[in-house]
Amino acid sequence: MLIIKDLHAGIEGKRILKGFYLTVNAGEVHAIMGPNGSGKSTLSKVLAGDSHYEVTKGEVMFQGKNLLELEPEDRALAGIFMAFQYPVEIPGVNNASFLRMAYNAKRKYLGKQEADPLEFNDLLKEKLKLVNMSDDFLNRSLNQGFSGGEKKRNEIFQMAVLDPTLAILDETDSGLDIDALREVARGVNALRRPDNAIILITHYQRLLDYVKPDFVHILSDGRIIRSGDKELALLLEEKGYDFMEASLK
Amino acid sequence: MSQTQTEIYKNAFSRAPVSNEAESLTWLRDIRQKAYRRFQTLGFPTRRMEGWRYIDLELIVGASFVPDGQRSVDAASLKRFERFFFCRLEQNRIAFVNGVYAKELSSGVGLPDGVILENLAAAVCSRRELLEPYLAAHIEKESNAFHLINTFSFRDGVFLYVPENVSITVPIHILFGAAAKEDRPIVFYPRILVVAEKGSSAKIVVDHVAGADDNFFSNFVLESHLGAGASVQYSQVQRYGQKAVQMVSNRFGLREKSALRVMSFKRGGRVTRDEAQVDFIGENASAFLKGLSVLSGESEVYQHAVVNHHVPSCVSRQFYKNILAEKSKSEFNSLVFVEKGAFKSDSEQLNKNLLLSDEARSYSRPQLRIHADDVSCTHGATVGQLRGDELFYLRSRGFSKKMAEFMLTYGFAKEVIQEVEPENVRVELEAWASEELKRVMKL
Repeated sequence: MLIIKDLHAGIEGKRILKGFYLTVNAGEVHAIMGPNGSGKSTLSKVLAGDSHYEVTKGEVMFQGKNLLELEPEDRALAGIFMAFQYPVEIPGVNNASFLRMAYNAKRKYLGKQEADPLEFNDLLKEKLKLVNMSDDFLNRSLNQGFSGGEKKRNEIFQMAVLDPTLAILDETDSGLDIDALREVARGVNALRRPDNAIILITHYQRLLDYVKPDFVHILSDGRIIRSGDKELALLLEEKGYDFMEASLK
Repeated sequence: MSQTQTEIYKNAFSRAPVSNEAESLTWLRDIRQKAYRRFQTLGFPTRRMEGWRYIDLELIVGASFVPDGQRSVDAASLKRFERFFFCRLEQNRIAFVNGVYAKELSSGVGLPDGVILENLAAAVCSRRELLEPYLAAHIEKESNAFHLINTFSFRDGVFLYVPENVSITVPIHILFGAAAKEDRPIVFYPRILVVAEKGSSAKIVVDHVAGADDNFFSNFVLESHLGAGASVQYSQVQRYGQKAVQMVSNRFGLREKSALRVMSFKRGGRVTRDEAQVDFIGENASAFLKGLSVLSGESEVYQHAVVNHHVPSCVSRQFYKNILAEKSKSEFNSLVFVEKGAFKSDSEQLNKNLLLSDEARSYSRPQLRIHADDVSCTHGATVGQLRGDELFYLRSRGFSKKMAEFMLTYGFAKEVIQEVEPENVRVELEAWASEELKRVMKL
């Protein structure tokens, strides 16, 4: 589904990703762990198409398409969804109508008819329950005045409604208390299917207690230094990033 | 600035206006003479005056506007204004074309007993006792030259009288349409006088409309008197093309516990100067002034607001937003004046500007003059462009760049519109803003 080869990228002249490789197949959940400054957020922003980041070398193929040539909106329509580490507040844009427009934009792209408003409402309500949010969320301005936890839940809610092929969760667990973490995890697990894939980008192991990854990769200084299964995350939790980095030198 | 054009304009007023009013209207003639004398004393504004610093008066005085001699309105010009009606309003409408009362465009669904809604030319003849205490009552202290010119020049307009404890539930729609050919620019002086007695309430839509190429100068005055406990809401809408010039002078006098709300929406016009002055003359009154301008081309809007807290415990809010595309320009110049002894005054002034082009300009000058203790007064202003992180967020959800820009801009506008009442007017204004932004943003 996703093949990243020798990716080099940075921001404002600073090199951050330095030869990143990753292959993700349908049905898989990959966790990418790394210390601050290792390139985790750069990876998610580059995959979503943030123009602040500059790709200097490498290739990213998504379902046979050259992802790096696509605008952010075309990547979204093609099935990529990034849950933001810091979701943006958009005053005056109603949450429900925003989602309806996004949902219909995707249906149009797929050559389908616009969703029936009543059926879409039912869909929204069903997905709201998944992340334990009340109906009032729908009528508020997008993320405006939301608490940190509410913003993160809203990202998972959007993801559940838009039903992406590849979801990239950029430190969705950071800043969440244990209850919110469980609810977010429940939303993510509900999305797991044989025909889609998830990349979890995280600093800590604890999210992986609730969302069990198939693969764990350790990112250091812009490249993956070690890959393994869930056990790798536990080892990392026990020994720390410094030990992992040192042991490889 | 070329001195000659200004001189030409001044010369037009070098002699006292000839009154063609009936003998019985000497009281009105007196008012006009007072206004004229005041105008002669003050003179024509110059750019050296604080309130006229940014405005290019040449654009007004440079065109040879001629008074429209027409005394009736023809059917063809009536037809073109039908599209401007707020369709969802089953309102009382009173309409004017080029300042002339258009009975055919006016309609009513019946007003409560005692309410008077009629054209000003008729009212001055038959209702002197109601008008005289209010019409241009403070003209000898007036400092806006255009307000004075209107006072000695106006021919018609609207008189609305709401008696004590009467509520008008159906909004009143006042429509000022303009139709003037490019090569023959005209001038007219519409005027509204609203007297809302003690405990009364009314909702009023004041609508200035014209086609894309209509070339005219509308010098408009609104006087509004709110009795004790009265509640009056205005939605002032300007829908002009790129050539019209408009001077607006709003004067609001508020007695104790009265509540004023003004929502002002503007599109187009070459130059618009809108001055709102609020005088709190009774305690515990409140005034909320809000506005939104969507400007493109070379449109310029100069929004001036003066709120005078003469007495204690009044609340004033000013919140004006501008969306500026192409080479448009805006000014927000507001003053809150808290007089000695007006303690517990509470005021806020806020101006936010969104620039959609590098050539657009906005000037913002919220000011405070406080001569009392124990007050709460804040002011602020922002000028900015659409934010990259907001655009990226929306695009990452599948919206095109243009659509994302539109959504953010509409969101910016909506913060003002969402407070408009009644709902049917709000719905129309939302549709208007959306349509206007799509046009300006070439969506």
